[in-house]
Amino acid sequence: MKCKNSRNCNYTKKFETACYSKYLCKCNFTPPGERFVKRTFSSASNIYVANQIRPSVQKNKVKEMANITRALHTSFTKSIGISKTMSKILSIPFNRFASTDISSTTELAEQEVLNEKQLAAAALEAKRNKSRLKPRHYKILHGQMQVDPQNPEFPYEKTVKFRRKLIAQHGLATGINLGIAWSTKEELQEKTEYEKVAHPFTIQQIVEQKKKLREEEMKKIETRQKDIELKMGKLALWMKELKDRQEKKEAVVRAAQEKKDILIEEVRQHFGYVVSMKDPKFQEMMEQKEKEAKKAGKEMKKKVRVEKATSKALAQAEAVSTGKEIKME
Amino acid sequence: MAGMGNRVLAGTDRALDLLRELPRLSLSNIRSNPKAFKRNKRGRGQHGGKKHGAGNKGSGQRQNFMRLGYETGNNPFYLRVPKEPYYKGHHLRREYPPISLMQLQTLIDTGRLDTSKPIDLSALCNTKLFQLSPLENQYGFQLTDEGLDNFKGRVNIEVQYASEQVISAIERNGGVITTAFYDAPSLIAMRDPMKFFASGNPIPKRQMPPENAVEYYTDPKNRGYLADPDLIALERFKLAQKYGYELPDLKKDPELLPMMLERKDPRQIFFGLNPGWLVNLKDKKIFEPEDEQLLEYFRS
Repeated sequence: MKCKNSRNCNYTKKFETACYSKYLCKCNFTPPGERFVKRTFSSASNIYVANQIRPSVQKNKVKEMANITRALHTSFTKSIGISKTMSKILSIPFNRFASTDISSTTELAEQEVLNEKQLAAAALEAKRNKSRLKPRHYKILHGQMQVDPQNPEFPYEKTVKFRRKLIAQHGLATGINLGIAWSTKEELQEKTEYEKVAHPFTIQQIVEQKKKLREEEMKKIETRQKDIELKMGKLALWMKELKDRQEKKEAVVRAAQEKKDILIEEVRQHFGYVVSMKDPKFQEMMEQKEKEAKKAGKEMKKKVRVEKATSKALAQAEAVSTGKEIKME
Repeated sequence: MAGMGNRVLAGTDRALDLLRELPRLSLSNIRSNPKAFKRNKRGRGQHGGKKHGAGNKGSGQRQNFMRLGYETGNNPFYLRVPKEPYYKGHHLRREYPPISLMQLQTLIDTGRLDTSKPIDLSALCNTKLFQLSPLENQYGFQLTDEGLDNFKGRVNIEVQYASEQVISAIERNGGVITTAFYDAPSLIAMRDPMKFFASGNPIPKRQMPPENAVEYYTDPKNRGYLADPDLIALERFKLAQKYGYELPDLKKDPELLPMMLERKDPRQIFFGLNPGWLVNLKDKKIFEPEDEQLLEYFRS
């Protein structure tokens, strides 16, 4: 199976199923969607920008290192006699052997002595370490920095989130630029825009708006209350009017009913016994009686009219006579 | 122990040998008992084949099923009952988990809360007796009136809601109460400050309350943090008259006075720390950004 970064890398290996082991090839393939550290802050003294080094250069460097370490590993392990894994745990800085150009022989000798001492101490420590923990886990347990910020091994070590946590855990010893803690210019712009949209009004403006709202509400309530008061004042009058109207209607109905009852009684008396309403004889008599009643009513009306006219005439005559009397006086 | 001459290996020795040689137990080298679970017999050949579990003719075999909930024409159950607005907007309603005055008194008596320092949400969460989850729409604590009559603590307390009686109970004992609003990111920082500092983020800027909360927090009757302090003093006096106690003079105790009057800026989350500062606990240092835009943002 080929390395994922097949465009730039031709490394093939039998990969395991675990996710990150796919990136065991050290060609620095990183999956998309990760945030990389690409920020510079001119004010900070130590500037670290990952991924600024071009990929090919990075790859060559890594390859160099790999070759050197492999060569030295075998020689070292043979000389000291410890296992390969143990030497890895020790993470002895092999690059020191290859990189520096040493001028005098005394310096070389001194360095060799120092290195030997270091190696001896490291070997002792290795023998004491029976935890069988992976080097990374061992370091985490003992509060040491489990990653090298300058040489990230896994893709997540390059993320901003992780690097911020690293600074929080180990402080300035990480050597990472502290500027990554704060937002970039684009992020800041987004934040300010979001805040503007989320809070378009200031507190004072909102307070005024709410005040107005409350006042309007109170006004509405007040007008309605006044209206109700006025109407309550008129309530007694309206009740009285309603009663009168109802009584009138009832009176009309009652009068008609009474009339009918009288006629029925007369008819019944005429017959001498109780006759049912639906009998035709009864109904004929009813009609007759109604006619008579009508006639009587008309005559009554006539009488009333005549009486009124006469009284009026009399009154007029009186008035004239009195007037004359006054004039004469 | 293999290789001890002609000695025959006993059962226990063999077992122990095995244990030493076998790899670590993992998901890749264990399996369930037979018939512990039923394998989904996907219809592909032999006994999952022929009709593939779809029967004969009909909508079943022709895979032309009715929609879920359909009741062959009559009004289906899920449409019979009309919608009622019981939970409308429930996701927008803020929750304030309660803390009673009785609990508060107990905390003070048992020494879990220090009354010589202002008590805010951080202090309450640090007791580890109260949980707050801003993601569940919980925006802080409210002080309830249970144990109001027996409350005797003199505190400078900041909560997110308190009723009139509770306010009177605290002020009667010579304390100070404030109601303040915190947005969700600020709450997350406040409820576990150590975890927040371990994340390596700078202290966030506290946002202003939403529109429907502005009225509450600008009202001196509620001792809102955005209200006019002079009006608050007036309300203190009024409340004392209403509930019939003599308003204690805070200036009588000059030692505690500055602590009692200590209140946060509307944009501040932690006492003594400004927004935008990066607190590093490892080196015991606080860092501030130099960039002008950032400074402007955090100071606004």
